[in-house]
Amino acid sequence: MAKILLIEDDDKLRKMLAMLLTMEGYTVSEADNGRQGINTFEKETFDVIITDIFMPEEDGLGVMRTLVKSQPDVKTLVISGGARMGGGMQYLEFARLFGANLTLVKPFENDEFLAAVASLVSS
Amino acid sequence: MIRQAVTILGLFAISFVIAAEFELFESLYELTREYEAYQLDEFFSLAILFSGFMLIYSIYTNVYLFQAIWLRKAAEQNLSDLNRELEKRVIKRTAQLNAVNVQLRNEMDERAKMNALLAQNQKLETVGTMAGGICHDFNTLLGIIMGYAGMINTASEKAAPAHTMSEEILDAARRSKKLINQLSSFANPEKSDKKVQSLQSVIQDGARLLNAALPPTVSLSQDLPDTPCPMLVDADQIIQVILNLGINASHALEEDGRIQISLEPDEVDLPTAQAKGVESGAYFKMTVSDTGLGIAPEILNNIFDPFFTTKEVGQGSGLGLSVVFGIIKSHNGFVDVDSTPDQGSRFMVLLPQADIQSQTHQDQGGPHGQDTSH
Ligand SMILES: Nc1ncnc2c1ncn2[C@@H]1O[C@H](COP(=O)(O)OP(=O)(O)OP(=O)(O)O)[C@@H](O)[C@H]1O
Ligand SMILES: [Mg+2]
Repeated sequence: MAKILLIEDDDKLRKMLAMLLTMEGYTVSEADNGRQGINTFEKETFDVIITDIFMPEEDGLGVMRTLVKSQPDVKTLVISGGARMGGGMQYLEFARLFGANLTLVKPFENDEFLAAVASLVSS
Repeated sequence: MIRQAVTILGLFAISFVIAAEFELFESLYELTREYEAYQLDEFFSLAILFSGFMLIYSIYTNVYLFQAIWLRKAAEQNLSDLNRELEKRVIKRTAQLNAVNVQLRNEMDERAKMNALLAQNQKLETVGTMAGGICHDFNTLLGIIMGYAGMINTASEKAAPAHTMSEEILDAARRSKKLINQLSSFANPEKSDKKVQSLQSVIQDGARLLNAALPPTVSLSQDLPDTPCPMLVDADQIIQVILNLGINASHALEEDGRIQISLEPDEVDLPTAQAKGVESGAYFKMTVSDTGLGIAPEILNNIFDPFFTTKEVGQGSGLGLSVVFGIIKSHNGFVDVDSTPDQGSRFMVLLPQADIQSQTHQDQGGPHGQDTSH
């Protein structure tokens, strides 16, 4: 089954998404910030990488930048709920410019999320 | 008074002396003639010389005195003239000062009003920034709630209580999501899709949608100018403004109330512009007025605050006007309100014409065709 790396700094949300993906039959690895995420995908290969944008250490755009250089074929889904200081939706647009295959605005329905992941896995 | 009396007495005395001198002179002369034949005595000639001298002297003193009195009279006259003139000037100056005072007081009042407006504007902006922060956290939390509720929902039998319960949770979470969306559109209006288009047709589209949402007892009328009002706007957002204002108006109406949407060119002067944080100059003014309950003066300052509502729980979220504020701000305009309790309210949306001037030049096509299928 497809291997997925989930990078998200909110523990509860990450656990929930990991559970959802596991129930769906995916193999999930977790990272709780961008730096850790980069370290993980540099050691191991994944089919899909899901990343949040606003995170400590390294943010989602940093993750995308590194990923596009080192593993341009990996499929990506970028999720965001906006920035703490307001704004932030435009970052999803940046993420697309950086090569994100799909983006989702938090909060999303489980079906939406799983459909997005499935479409990335099958492509 | 006393001085005048003394002067008059003095005059009398002097005339008396003069008269006496004349008599003396005459009698002396006669004496001289009588004794012409004789050699004049040295004593007489001296006496005549002396009296002549006295005469000249007294005439001189008289003239001098008269002159002094006359001069003084003239000086007094002059002085009282001056006094009167001064009084007149003082009165005139006082009037001028009073006028300036009134003007100053008006200006101070005006300034106080402007300051209050400015503070209100700044408060809304701060709330906007805060709201942005809250939105991020809420979105994450709602994500967790929706995720688990969704999992419970799919895992449970259709008939099981957990299924309906999780459905309720999902429902509530979706409603919260909508709220957050509204709030964040106030905090940072979406990157908007602005085009030069005729405000009239945007308003007509908005009015059509609004009409569909209004109860049949409410009448909606429009008063739009014939001359085109091209404007760089995001039509969807302006329609949202019309809907929010129109629905608020309909909530304030009793049976068979009236709502009117009008449009007219307007000018915004410098003090108003400064207070509102916009540019002064030519604007278009869109007014949504109703004949409803009106707004109590004590809450007039709060109605644009996010979550401020006088409606029952579940009836209003208190975000309608905050969204209006955010949208109009992103169009470099401002919103004003004017309301009389029991008579109605007027919400005035001011949009600057300046923005479009350069745009219309580039965009030689003029106003974009408006497809009415909103
Ligand atoms: N036309 C009006 N006449 C009388 N009161 C008004 C009018 N428009 C707004 N208000 C007052 O301003 C308050 C705030 O309006 P706002 O649109 O922000 O929120 P709401 O209508 O209460 O809720 P929502 O629009 O989110 O459903 C209203 O609750 C109401 O008291
Ligand atoms: Mg409202």
